[in-house]
Amino acid sequence: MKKLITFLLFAFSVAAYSQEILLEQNVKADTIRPSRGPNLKNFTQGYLGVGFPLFTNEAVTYTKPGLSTSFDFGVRYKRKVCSHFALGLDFGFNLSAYKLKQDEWKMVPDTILNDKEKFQINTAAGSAFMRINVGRRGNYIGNYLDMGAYGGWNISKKHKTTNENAEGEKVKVLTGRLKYIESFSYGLLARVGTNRYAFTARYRLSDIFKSSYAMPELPRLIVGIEVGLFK
Amino acid sequence: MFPVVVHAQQSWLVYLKDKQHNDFNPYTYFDAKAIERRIRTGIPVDDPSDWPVNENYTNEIASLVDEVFFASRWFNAVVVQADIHQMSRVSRLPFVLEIEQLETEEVHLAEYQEYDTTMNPNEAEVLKGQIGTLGAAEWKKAGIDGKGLRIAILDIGFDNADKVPAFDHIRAENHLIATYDFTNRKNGDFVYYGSGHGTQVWSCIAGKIDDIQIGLATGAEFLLAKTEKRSEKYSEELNWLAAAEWADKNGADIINSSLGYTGKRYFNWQMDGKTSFVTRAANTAARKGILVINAAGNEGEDEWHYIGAPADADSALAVGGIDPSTGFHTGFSSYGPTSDKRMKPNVSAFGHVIAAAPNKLNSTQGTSFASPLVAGFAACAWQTNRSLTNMQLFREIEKSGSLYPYFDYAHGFGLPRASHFLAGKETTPLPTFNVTERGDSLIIILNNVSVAGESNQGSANPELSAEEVQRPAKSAGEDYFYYNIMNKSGVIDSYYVLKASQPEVVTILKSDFIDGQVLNMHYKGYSETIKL
Repeated sequence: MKKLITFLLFAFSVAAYSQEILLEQNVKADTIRPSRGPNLKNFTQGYLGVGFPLFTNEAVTYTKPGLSTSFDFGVRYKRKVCSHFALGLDFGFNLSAYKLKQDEWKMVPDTILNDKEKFQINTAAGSAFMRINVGRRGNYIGNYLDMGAYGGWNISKKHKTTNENAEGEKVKVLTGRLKYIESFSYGLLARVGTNRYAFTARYRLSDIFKSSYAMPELPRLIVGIEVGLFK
Repeated sequence: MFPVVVHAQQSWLVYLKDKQHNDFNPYTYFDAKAIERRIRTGIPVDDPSDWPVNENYTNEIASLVDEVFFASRWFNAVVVQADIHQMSRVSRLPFVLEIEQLETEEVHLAEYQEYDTTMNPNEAEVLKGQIGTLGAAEWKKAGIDGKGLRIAILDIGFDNADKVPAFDHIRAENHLIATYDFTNRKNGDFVYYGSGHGTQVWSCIAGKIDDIQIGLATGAEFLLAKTEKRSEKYSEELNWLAAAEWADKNGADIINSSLGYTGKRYFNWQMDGKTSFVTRAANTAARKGILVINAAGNEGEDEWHYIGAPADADSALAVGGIDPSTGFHTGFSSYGPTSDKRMKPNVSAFGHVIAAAPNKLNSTQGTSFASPLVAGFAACAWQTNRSLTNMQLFREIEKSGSLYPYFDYAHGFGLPRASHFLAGKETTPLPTFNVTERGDSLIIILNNVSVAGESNQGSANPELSAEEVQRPAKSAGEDYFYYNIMNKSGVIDSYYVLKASQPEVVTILKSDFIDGQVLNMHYKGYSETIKL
């Protein structure tokens, strides 16, 4: 706005003679209608999620249910199309740990039994989704259903075993850049949420293990919860 | 007309094409006070908008839906619960004009926070100031207490209000006319459960304990309507409408609504006085001759910042909150203007009060309590001149404001003054400052600078006598210098409140302003406007 100067007189001391502005409101500055916000044209937010691989027919035999985890974090952009429909993009990272059961059925990556064993696969992924909102609302995300697809690059592919040797020492073996794991993954996703919180589900269509190695697949379905990071 | 994804039961407002007069007799339908209000304010006694909804239409709709909540004669509409398939059949009825889906968001209350209940000296001063600044002593001297006025309170609940001693005088004089719980659609005692919010609000209108007044309108009559539940899912705005129609039928002169609806369902720019359902209901109530008084809201420090609905209604007197310790706008009180740039709030009162809670007197804050203080004031003001229409009274209350004709979007016209309504009390204010031109500068020089901001707090005895409560209170804000810059459309671009501690309070460079802008100023009761 235009300049407006409140003079300060300094006779004996600043504290004694300065004017104190108790209230100042610039209405003009508030007249611009914002375009960014949870239910406005553009909205960007962060997110944090945790999921748990659910069994598949193959994987139930060798992953430890409940202990295997999948963490997600990233940035999400949503563009509102109308009150009930929006399109969006995510970019983020997924850190998945598949802990393997050590029993006579173990086949992945071999039949050797260890004290502990897991695959750690970290993925840089992007996704596109469409959002259906229910109910008219103010500048709130509201209740929604997201459906979309994701794809990513497996930037880290590690296998880790932990064993105790005859001397009682703990021996950890970490093998990276695994040749039998695919470099890319893709699949479908869905979220059901209300404002900041959502239940999530991700179904991997791609294989983790290269087909030439003929290994049974790790769980394809991961379900979890997500918290939106925004003001 | 129907949203894309709806499968569950929803609430719908079914607007009807026509009404039939049938044998509607307003003289038997309305309370005598409602008839009297219509005659007094020049509103037709037999108006089509008052005719009941066609019962045949209601019955036919009822046969197609799960439930009919109520029929609105003002909107000629029926509120129903149904799924989309049922509504599809309703929409094909020949007498259906339009269908509006209603929302399913949670309730927002214009309540802020309750304090500890101990009465310390400062709280005793607040109790004195909350009605003292609205002229309690002058009203008392003139024998004005809202007698003959009927006030409807729309609120979330009135816990223990049937037992709280602050209302003994009302019960003793049979001045509680009717109660209705619109959340359960039941008459009777159901309003006395759910929340103490309404109990405190009522006390700020008319409470009195041992001759110590909490509100001004101790002689008024009351209608209590419970319109909300804390976990209500969708119907609070509908209940507001139903309660307003009920208040109209039962002869209410004033509605106090310390309720507001903001960001969960609306955008800021929808606070335009015509979009929200409850705002349209409030304006319709005003068209029936009822003075609607509504809390401005408590979002001043939130991202929302602005007043909510129905305070945005042009015919609702929106009341902002004053901090008793400073004498000017309290931080949480929502700001104006409306999104279409009308002035709101209209006036202000203490936003920190002592109120009668269900179990004890306590200190609480929120514009929820500023609104009923003004409702009590309005009842007294109307008692002085019953020939005023509701909107004439609305304007007179604005004119009575301590800042009038100056205003801003934090205070409106300031604290209403009783002297405006009591003959022989008002005097023309003398100039309290001069504006001197020096080159390109305008210098505002105050005539008598006192140390501003000294509140009227002191070593008061918390056990105040009735006389002490009644004595005129000095507003701490009287010594502040207020000014604003207004554009040629009459909209304030910016506004300020200064604590003046030297004669030369503000210097403004004229060249910094554009043609048509004006500088409005106010200091110690005197206002002046200068073209820049």
